[in-house]
Amino acid sequence: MLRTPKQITRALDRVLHQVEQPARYIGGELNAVVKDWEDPRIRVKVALAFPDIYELGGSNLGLMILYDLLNRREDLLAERVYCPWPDFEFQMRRMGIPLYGLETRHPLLDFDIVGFSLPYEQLYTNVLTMLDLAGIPLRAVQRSAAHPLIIAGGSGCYNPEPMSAFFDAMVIGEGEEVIFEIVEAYEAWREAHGLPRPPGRGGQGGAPEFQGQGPDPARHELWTRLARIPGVYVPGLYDVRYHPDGTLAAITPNHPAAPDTVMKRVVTVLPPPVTRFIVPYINVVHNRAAIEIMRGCTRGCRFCQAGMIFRPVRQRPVEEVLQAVDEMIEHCGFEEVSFLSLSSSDYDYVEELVRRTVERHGDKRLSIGLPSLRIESFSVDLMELLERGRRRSGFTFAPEAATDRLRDVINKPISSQELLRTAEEVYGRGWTTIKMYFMIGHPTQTLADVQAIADLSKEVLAVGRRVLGRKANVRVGVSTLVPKPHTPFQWVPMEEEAVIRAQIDLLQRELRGPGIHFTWNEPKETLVEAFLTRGDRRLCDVIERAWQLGAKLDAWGEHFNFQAWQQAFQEHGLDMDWYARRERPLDEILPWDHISAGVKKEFLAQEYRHAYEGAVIDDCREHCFSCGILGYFKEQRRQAPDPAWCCPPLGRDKDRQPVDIRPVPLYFNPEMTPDRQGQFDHRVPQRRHGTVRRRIQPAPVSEAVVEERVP
Amino acid sequence: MTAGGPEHRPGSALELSSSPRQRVRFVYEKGEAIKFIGPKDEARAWERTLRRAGLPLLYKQGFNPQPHIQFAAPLGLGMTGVREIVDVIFSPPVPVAELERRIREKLPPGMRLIGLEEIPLKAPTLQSRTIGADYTLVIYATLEELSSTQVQAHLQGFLEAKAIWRTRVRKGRPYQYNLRPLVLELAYRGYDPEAEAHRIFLRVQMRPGAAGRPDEVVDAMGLGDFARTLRRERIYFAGEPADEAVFQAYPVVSQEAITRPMPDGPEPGSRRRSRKRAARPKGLKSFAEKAADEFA
Repeated sequence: MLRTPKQITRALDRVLHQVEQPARYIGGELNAVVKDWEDPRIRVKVALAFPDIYELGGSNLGLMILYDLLNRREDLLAERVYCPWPDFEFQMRRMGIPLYGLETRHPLLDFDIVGFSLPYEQLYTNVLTMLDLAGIPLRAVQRSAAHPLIIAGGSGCYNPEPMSAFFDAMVIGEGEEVIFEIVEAYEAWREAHGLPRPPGRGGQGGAPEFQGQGPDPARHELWTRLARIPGVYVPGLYDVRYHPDGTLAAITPNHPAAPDTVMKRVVTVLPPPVTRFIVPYINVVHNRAAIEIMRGCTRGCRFCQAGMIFRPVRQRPVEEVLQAVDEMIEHCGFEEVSFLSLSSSDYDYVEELVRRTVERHGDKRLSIGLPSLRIESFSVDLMELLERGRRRSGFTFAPEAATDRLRDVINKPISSQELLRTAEEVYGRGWTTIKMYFMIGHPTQTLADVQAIADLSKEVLAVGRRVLGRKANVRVGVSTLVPKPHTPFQWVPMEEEAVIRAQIDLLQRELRGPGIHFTWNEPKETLVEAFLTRGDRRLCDVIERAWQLGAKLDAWGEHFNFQAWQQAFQEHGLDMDWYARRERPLDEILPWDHISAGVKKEFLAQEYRHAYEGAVIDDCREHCFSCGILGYFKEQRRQAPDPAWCCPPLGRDKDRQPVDIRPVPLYFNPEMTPDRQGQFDHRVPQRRHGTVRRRIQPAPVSEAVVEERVP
Repeated sequence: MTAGGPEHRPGSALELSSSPRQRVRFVYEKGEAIKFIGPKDEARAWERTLRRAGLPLLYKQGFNPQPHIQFAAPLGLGMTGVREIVDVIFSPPVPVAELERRIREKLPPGMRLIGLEEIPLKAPTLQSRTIGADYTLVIYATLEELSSTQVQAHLQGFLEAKAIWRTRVRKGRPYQYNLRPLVLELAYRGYDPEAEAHRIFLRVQMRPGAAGRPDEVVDAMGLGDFARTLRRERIYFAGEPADEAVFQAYPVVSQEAITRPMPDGPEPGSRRRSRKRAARPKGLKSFAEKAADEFA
């Protein structure tokens, strides 16, 4: 394998003109930070890896934040690396080009730490491709002290087990602070063992695999140092035992440094936003600046992993966002800025933000993206303000289910009536396209609920035809529910393939004709996502085997290779449906039970039961449901300014919201629990924050009384 | 949800046509660092540079308005240019010295401003006036891999051929054209041991509809497998006395004289591709597409 940046550059010159989109592989963009490797001040070098191609990874905000934070420190250095497309992978193997950092083209082996982002499961096999191309042993136990530390972060780590064999350590939660603690621990370990700094530690032949039994002792010592950092999970320090039926008997630490449960990390206050984005030359997805306005969501949709794991909700002051937009334009020149959050409508200052951004930049041809708006006329007002007579693009709704009943089940209580009223506003003000996202496979869903997707879509189109005429159209995207770890639906089975196919067929028959565009996902691709997200440690072998058999770039339809997965499962005597489609009893030990998202399991279980009762709980800014966050992070809550968190402030003299031991439903859907009808008020779907004052006296769940309702 | 592109207000056409405009011609270098970006990417890089500099770009009218940024001759992927030319229209006008200062500050790595001048608004477009171009073909190889004699033999083979038929695709349809008459000069310029590179001088005709491409010449010579940089040294324009003087020596080759239809129907490759696409139903979305669509 080639070892030096010069050799690699020469080889690149030779092959890049033969591959698709060579600019993916050369770096050199505006705002990329290129540091001198000879600079003696630089103590630790980090490669930030995204396991998909440049076009998908380049706009990942998480990695951009870490890149910015690390490179601000003059004693650290961070470079980017992405997964090559197969044409370039072939050339790399042919020419002996190792995977390299884009900034200076040093091989990955020469970095101290390689940090992978794992935002979703379809990227897992690409991690193996990248490690292999880097000449780094795939499994943590095969690595010696001379290999870089391989870590991961991102939502995928909330069930770390399926990928646990391939990482030395996995970060649970937010990386902004813990990354520096990992760097410190790594450096202290390197000093303690008198190890040389890279490059040059593997010599010409690269670093050989560790040959002994179990982990390399020096590396094991690094693991124990890392395991002491809160939020860092070191898979190698845990043992797993199984029952004869294959379910888990126990996951226990095998070293005193490893905690029984790894609690996620959160930052108390959001650090200042990135404003020096790398400006790609080629067209990437989301070729724009992204400014996070809020982290977390107070709505509590039961299928939504992000809504659970990104708690607590923290808001960024509006001044900080506005200033970031100014700086971004000066540093990057993007034509578009997107304000990111899980639910923009719930950002307290959203109206002010939109109004002031338009005032400042409306004449500079800056497009402003405001994703995840609620389905209500206020959102239409906001968009109107944003677009101010510009070209009208699409408007997106995500009702996720098509009947009022089913939306109560998933705790996203929007009424169809309100949705149609909003659609009328949207078309009436000149937008031609409404995009709607639905899921199939929710618990208690019947074929009638699926038919309702078609009916509701057609009703929306009919509204459009009436107010706007033939130009009106709807785009309907349907995906299948994958019950995710750390959500109230984590015990729910994924729907049977035959049922999913029948439902998609139904929708395909119904949703055709002019003005309707229907998209869906391949059920087999969804199945791969499901077993990867719900799997245990035994899946490591399956993933490695499937990868050997040719599974890679699973997110790309043309590369998706289901046979490889089937064969890998077969060879290991495991069953994908057992992982994906088995209803899990509440008392079963789940593969991710030793990882905590700060949300108590009892809270999730209560919400799971509520789903089947048709009970709806409120926006938790109205009323704290004691999900667990405030208990686990009370010290951080005390340190944060009162308005920065949406959780109630703690301490004396604070305006305290009532806190329930158990979630008190807002109402029960009478269709589902007729026996509880009358105990609660009529349906009050999807309220705006602040429309209801404090409710409730502490009361047992079955007798909770809702005090006051203002429409 | 995303607000649309730049503004389009009824009545703005009138308003804009009456406001003062300024057309400026920039001469710049597209360097080695960005040789792998295509013409569209280069246009975007210019637009973003001008936005960073806070300059008042004039946008075209229409549904999805684009700024007035016009290249003399877009450079293909893998090519660099020593003296590339682009015209930009600003409104309201900005003093040239200030333009220069602000743009120099904001150009991305790989682009360098060489000069600029204000030109009449009504001057004919550059693209319609190109007649030819000079290139240096830099072929990276050690002398063991590729000796000077070998390179010269490749050149000789090319020059001795009467016709060199190449296949290209235009608007999805393949056609054949004769590359040979478009190549006006082709000469070996020696080996640079420092850079480990052979240098070849190439002059081609570059007229609308009949332009020689350097990557095609390299392929036709049989040197396509070597590392290379294709560097455009100069563009020649009709109406420029010095340029026309150089090109007086060469005949004008018309589009009709060098193209012919494909010998036997469409390429098998193009059909295969369409079949492959049909294999995946229209609405079926891969996760990567979904990720691009839904997540931010």
